[in-house]
Amino acid sequence: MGSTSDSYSSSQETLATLESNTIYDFIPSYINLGFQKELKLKIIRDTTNPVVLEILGSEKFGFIENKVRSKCWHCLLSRQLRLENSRNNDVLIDHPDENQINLDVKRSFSFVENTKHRDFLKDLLSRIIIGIFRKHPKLRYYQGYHDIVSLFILVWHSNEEVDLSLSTMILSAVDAQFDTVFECVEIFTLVYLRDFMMNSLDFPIDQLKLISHLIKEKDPDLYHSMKLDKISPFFAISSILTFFSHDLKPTNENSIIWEIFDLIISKNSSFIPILIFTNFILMQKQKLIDQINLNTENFDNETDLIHASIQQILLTSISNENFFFKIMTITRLNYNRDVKLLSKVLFDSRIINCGSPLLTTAKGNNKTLFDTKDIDNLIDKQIKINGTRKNIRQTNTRFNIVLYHVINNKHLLVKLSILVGLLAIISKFSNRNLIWETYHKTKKVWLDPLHCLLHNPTSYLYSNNN
Amino acid sequence: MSSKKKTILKVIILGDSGVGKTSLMHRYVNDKYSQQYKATIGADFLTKEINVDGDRTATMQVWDTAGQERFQSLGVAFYRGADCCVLVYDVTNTKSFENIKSWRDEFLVHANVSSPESFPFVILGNKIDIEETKKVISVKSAQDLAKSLGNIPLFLTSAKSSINVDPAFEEIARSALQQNQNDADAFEEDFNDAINIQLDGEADSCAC
Ligand SMILES: Nc1nc2c(ncn2[C@@H]2O[C@H](COP(=O)(O)OP(=O)(O)OP(=O)(O)O)[C@@H](O)[C@H]2O)c(=O)[nH]1
Ligand SMILES: [Mg+2]
Repeated sequence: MGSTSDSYSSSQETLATLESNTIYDFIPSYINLGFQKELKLKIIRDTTNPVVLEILGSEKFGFIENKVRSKCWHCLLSRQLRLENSRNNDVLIDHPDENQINLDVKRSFSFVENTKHRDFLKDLLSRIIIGIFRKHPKLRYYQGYHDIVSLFILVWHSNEEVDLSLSTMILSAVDAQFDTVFECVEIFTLVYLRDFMMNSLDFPIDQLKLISHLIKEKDPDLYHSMKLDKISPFFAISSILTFFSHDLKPTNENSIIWEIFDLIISKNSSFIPILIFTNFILMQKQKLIDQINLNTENFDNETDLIHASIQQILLTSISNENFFFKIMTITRLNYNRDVKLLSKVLFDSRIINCGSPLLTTAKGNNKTLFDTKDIDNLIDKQIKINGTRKNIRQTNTRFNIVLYHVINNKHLLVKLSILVGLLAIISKFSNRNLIWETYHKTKKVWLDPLHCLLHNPTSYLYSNNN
Repeated sequence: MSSKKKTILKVIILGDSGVGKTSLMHRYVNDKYSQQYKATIGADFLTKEINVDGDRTATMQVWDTAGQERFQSLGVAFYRGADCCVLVYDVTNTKSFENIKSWRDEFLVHANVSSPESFPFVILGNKIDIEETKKVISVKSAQDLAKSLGNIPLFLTSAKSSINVDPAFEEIARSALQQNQNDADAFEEDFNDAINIQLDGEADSCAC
């Protein structure tokens, strides 16, 4: 063993080879999985070069076990964003989302059986999430963020015996560990999750469109069978918002969810969840089509039918971790090609906002070290774009509500018709510009989207994107 | 021949986050309760076969949506085709009670139902197992609200202690079935067209 590990040491010479091959080219195929993992673990432990860590983490098995994973994540994440004044947990102003946070923390770690350990983890979860939002009050909490933070906590705290004896340990050691977890969660949040933390779900819904786009490119038949030209792929929302941590639970060290996060962090890429979901659908094509046919009679409309069918298939796949390991292999293999397939929509049709992690901090294989000021600027930019989008949608909805009341109220309808008629007559006789002027001056909020849509149907939506 | 075709009753559960929508659905469908149901992200559904008028069966399809406000824009995608809408509040949470009306309005605006005045809603005041001192919504004010919204049936339930859940869902099934049959019989007045005509008219007059 000793001599084998020496020959795999992470010197600069092997680095060049590692970049062009996979680590498995060095390991004879007759070696069984357990032994492969053991070997890889030894290599990771000996590695001090972060570039090598990035490669190792993107490969099969990821970082293998939580004891080394925690160190690797910390090392890689701190090369993606440099935080100033990390210790800032004493802010006392409440964040408006703390109620929701408490509700979700209460329902977390349900798969942890030891109730004492579960309570310990929940307490930690609450302190970290609330700490993050008090420190970054511009960000908004979304349901599902707690699933991601739960996963981070378990990397450092999956051993219940150690945790339950923590209270007897020296306080400074406990504090130091808390700071490390907090720092990693903070960096991950700021680098990867900003799209989800605006005050609406518009940006994540945009991200979902990339799934439809990829399926269209890679399997047009399936694209049509799934009616993706007609429906929005809302069925993927929980997987995308939580990077699969809502559905794939880290029940033990071998759970697939660890490898997914290893890959995201090592590749520094927010594309991974989108690619995994797409590959999941492509690989389950036949099952999915069968399920859709089986279900056709049972659902009211296509949105329901497709959502339900995918949910059913996903549920059966989750219990089959081997299947997910296969998806991971495909995802790694096709990564570069698939991201290239997406680049056309990314830049041409501007589906994705220009401050998105997908285009900036987590676009994959980044060589930039961002700082807090960069992130602040990006957040401000995104909040601005999101605000415009949300206003358009809300005024549209308000307009619908007005229409709804008008149509459902016969008296009002009559009165309104008379009013319109009168206005028409007046406009015939008076200066034609008068009505336009009044309209422009009053700028009734609910009329605005109509105005913009009529004058400039498409460009308005994206005019603020740059 | 029509008796051979499956009857699907689509029911949608709305209400603030944490009022117990997921817990009620699981209590009704699986007769189970766990303190540890995950927060709902997006929309989930469960089905249950039920008996209607003696020997006929129908499939009740219960759609459970996320309560956090930001998920509403997504939830509305699932309102379409509902046969009954269940509005849930938590008897220990004033805000959740005050929001019942806006959940109903939100539903009516987006569901595009054929006759909004007669569309069936059911209100559930959940968590009545919790000790009296913590309850903040009186039975009286709940009844007043139900009345003011058009005599909507009201049930005080507990998913935890299984109080009133079955009777509530029996009522839900009954009204969903009725709505389902009404819809099948009715000559559909198309509200969509009305909206389109309005918009087209406006577009023309502005373009010139
Ligand atoms: N005491 C009591 N607690 C309940 C009852 N029903 C639900 N709860 C608790 O209330 C919390 C929220 O329940 P959920 O069913 O997850 O709430 P929800 O409405 O689905 O929430 P979202 O998915 O966030 O929209 C959980 O901790 C439940 O254990 C009940 O009847 N009595
Ligand atoms: Mg729920």
